[in-house]
Amino acid sequence: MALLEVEALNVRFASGDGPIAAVSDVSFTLNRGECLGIVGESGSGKSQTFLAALGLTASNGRVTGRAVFDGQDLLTMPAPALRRLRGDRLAMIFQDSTTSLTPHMRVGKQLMEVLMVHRGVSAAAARVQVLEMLTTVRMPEAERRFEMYPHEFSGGMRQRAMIAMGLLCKPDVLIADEPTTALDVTVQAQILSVLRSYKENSNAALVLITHDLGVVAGLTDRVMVMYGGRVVEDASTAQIFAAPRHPYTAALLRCRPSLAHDPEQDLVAIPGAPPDPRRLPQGCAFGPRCEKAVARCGAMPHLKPVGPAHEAACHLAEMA
Amino acid sequence: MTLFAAQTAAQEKLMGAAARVQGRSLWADARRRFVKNRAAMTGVCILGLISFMAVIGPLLSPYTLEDLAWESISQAPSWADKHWFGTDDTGRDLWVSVWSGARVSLTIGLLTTLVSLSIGVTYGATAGFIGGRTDMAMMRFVDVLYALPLLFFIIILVTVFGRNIYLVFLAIGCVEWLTMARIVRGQTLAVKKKEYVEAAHAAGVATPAILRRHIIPNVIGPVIVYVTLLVPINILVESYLSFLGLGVQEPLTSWGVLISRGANTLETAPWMLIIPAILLALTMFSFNFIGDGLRDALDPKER
Amino acid sequence: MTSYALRRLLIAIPTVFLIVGLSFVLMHTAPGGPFDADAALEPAVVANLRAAYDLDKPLLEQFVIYAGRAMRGEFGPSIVYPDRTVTQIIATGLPVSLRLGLTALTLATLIGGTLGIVGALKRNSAADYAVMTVAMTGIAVPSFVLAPLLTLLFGVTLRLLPIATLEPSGSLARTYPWLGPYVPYIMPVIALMLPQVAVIARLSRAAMIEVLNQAYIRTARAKGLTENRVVTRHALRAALLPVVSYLGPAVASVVTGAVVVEQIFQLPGMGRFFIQGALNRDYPVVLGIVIVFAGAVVLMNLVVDLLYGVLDPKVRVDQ
Repeated sequence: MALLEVEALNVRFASGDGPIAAVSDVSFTLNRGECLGIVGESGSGKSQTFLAALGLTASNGRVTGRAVFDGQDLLTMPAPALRRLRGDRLAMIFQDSTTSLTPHMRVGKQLMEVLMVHRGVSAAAARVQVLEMLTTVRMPEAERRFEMYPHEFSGGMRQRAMIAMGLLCKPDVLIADEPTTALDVTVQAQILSVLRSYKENSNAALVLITHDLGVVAGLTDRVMVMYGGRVVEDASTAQIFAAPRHPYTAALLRCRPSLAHDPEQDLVAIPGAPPDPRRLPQGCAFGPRCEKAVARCGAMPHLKPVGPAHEAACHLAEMA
Repeated sequence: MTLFAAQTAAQEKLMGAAARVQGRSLWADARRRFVKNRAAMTGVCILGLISFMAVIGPLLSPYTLEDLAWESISQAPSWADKHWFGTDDTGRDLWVSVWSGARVSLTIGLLTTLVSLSIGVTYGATAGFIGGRTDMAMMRFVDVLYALPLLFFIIILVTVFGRNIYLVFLAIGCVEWLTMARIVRGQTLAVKKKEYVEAAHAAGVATPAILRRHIIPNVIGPVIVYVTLLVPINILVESYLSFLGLGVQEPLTSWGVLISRGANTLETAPWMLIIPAILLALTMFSFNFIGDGLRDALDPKER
Repeated sequence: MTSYALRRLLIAIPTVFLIVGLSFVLMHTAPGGPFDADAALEPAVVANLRAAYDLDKPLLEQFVIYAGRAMRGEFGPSIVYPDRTVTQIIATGLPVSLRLGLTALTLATLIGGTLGIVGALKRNSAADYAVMTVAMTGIAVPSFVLAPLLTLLFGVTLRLLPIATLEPSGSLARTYPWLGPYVPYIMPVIALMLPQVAVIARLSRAAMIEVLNQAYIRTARAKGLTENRVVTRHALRAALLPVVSYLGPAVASVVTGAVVVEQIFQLPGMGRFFIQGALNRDYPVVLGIVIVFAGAVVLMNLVVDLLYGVLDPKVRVDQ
C-alpha cells in the first residue's frame, strides 16, 4: 500500500479579485523508500499541494480531495490528530530559513520543542537528542550553536538547523521545500548529502520541492512537473531527462545551461511569463507559451499514460 | 544549474512592462478600491455634510453669534423657537455656535496640517535624500523630540506669547511634523535604493528631476494617508488647548471651547456638551475611516 | 546587553538637558514678567524682587544657576506663591499624578493588549468587531470629551460616583465602603485610559495579524505544536514589540491627558499646578513640573528600550 496517496486535490484561495486556483486536480502516490521530486516555477502550486496535505493552508484557502496517509485521510481527520502527525510522522522543512525560524527563540530550544511535544521527553533528554541530530546534520560547534539565535547563524547553518528539526522524530515522510535555494553551491552539496543519507538510512519517503533540475537529477527517483497548479508530467527521473513528453518539461530541459554549452550561444528561455493563477487560460495553462500549441490545446488536457510508468497532460503527447 | 536563470531575465523584462502598465492604472485602481470601501465612503459623506454645514449652517438660523438673549438662557433644543440645538448659558443659539465652531476647528485642522506637512516633508526628504551621517543626526533629533510631551511646549508657547489663534496653529504645526518626517524619510530612502533611481542617476539625470519624477510620486501615497490622519489629530490638539482656555479666544469659538463650556453646565444643560462632543467624535471617525480606506486603497498588501 | 543599556542611558541625558534648556529659553523670551500683574509695585521693589530671583543676571548665567540647582532637586520658590517651594508643590502633586498615570497606563496596556490579541486570533468574528469598535471609539473620543461625558452618566445621572472631589461620595462607595479610597479615581482613570486602550488594541491586533502570517509561525505549526503553544511561545513576543515601543509615547500622551483629566475632576495633581503656573507665568513651577514630566517620559523610554532589548535578541547585536 502506498504511504501517501493524494487524490483530486484542489486548493482555492479567496481574494478580492475572485478565487485563485492554486492547486487543481492533483493526484499522486508516494511509496516508502521513494524520493519524489516536484518541479515547477514559483506559483505552480508545488508547495501549496503539500501544505494542504498537512493542513497548513492559509485561512482564506479551501481544500478539497483526499490525502490518505497510512490509511487515514489527512483532510478529514480531526485537527488534533493531524497536529500530532505533523512534525512527527510527516515533517516539512521550508525554504528561506531566514524567516522560517522564530527570531526571538534560541535555535536549540526551537528544536527541543519538537521532541518535547511529540515524545514527551524531558528537557534534558531532548537537549541530548537535539545535539546528536545537530552533529548528524554536520552543524559545526553544535554545543555553542545550540544557545544562539537564528540571526547569528549563516544561511547554510539555518538550513541545517531546519533539516535537523525535520529529522528529529524520524518522519515517515519528509517534505523539503526548496532546501537549497539561496545557498552556496558547496553548502548546497552538503545539505543534499544530509538528505541523501537520511533517505538511504531510513525507510522513509522523501519529497523534494525545487525548481533546480540539478538537485532533482542527483537525488530523486521520480519527478512530477507542475504548471499552473496542475501536474503536467509524472515519470521516473531517468525518463524525464531522457524523453520528456510534455512541451513544458522539454522546454525546461532546453533552458538548462550545460558545461558543453557554447558560451557564444544565447541561453534558451521560455518565451512569455508564468500564468496568473487568478486568470488561468481555458484549456492547457502552458498553451499560450507553447511553441507546439494547436487548436485542441484550448480544451484541458488530462494526465494520461504515455509510456510505462510515464504520464503527461498534453494532447500532443497522447497522439504520438 | 538553476533552471530559470535565463528565463528569469526575460521574465523581469516582462514584469518591468507589467509594472509600467500597473503604474498608469495605479491611481484608478486605488480609486476603485476606495470607492468600494463602505466605511471610508461613509466618512466622506459625513465629513462633506459637516463641512457643508460649517459653511451654510449659521446662515440657516435666524440668530447670530452676537444674539445673547437673557430670556432664553439654557433652553433645551426645540423646533418651535428655531433653537434647533438649544441655547447656552448666555442665551446664545447653540446651532450657530456649533457650526461657527466647526469652521474654526476644521480650518485650524487643515492649516496646521499644511504647516506640519511642509516642515515634515522638507525635513524628511532632506534627511532621506542626503543620507549618511546627516540623516542619522537629523533622525536622532526627531527621536529625541518624539519622546517629549510636546503639547507642554505649545502650552508654554501660548502662555509666553499670549493667546492668539495664529500662534496656536503655527505652534501645533511646528510640533506635529515628526511622524510626517519619519514617513517621508523612510519612503525616500527606500525609493532611492531602487534600481530605476540608481539607473537615472547613472544616466546623468539631474537631482531635481529625479526628485520630481521618481521620489515624489512614490512618497505621495503614504503622505496623503498620513495627512488624513493628521488633520483630526491637529483638530484634537486645538480642542485640547481651547478646552484648557489656551486656544481660540472670544469672540471666535471652536468645538474645544464649546465642549469646555458644556462640561461646566452638565447638570443644567447637557446638550451643550453632547452636541459638540458628537460632532467632534463624528469628525474623528470620518477622518480615521477615510485614512484607513486610503491606506488600504493605496497599499493593497495591507489588510 | 550592558553596553546596550549604557548607550541608551547616554542618549537619555542630553535629552533631559534639551528639555530643560528649551523650556527655560521659551519662558525667558516671554514678553512681560511675573510681576506685571502688580502694576502698583515700586520700580525699586520690582528690581529687588528680580534680583532675589536672579532675573537681573544674563540669561545664560540664570540657566547655569538654574540647571545646577535642578540637579540637586531644588527648583526654588514659586514666584506666585512665595511661601511654597516648587519642590513642595511637586511633592504634593506628584503622588496624585503618579497614581492616576501609572494605573491608567498599566490597565491600558493589559486591556488594550488583550483586546488586540483576541481580535487578531478571532479575526472577523463578533469579538473582533467589538474590539475594533472600542479602538475606533477610543481614537475618536479624547479624554477631555470622555471625562465630562462620564461625569454626566455616572455622576450626574446615575449618582454612582463622586464628581470632582477626592471624597468617597456616590452610591458605589456607600454600598462598598472598602472601595472608598479608589472611588474618586475610577472615572479619571477610565477617561485617561480609554484613548490608550484604543491605540494599544489597534497596534497589538495589527502586529499579531502580521506575525501570524510570518513563515516561522508556519514552521511552528508544521512542527505539530498546539495552536496555544504557537501563539504563546512563537507569536506573542513579536506581537508585543510594537506595544512595548509605543509605551514611551504613551507616557507622553498619558501625562498630557492627565493635565485635562486632573483639571476636570479637580484632582490636586501636577497637571493642575502646571496649568495654573502657565497661566500665571510662574516660571519656576512650570519649569520644575516640565522637568519632572519630561524626566518621567525619558525614564520610561529608557525602560522601554531596555525591555525591547530583552524581548528582541536582534536589537542587542544590531544597535
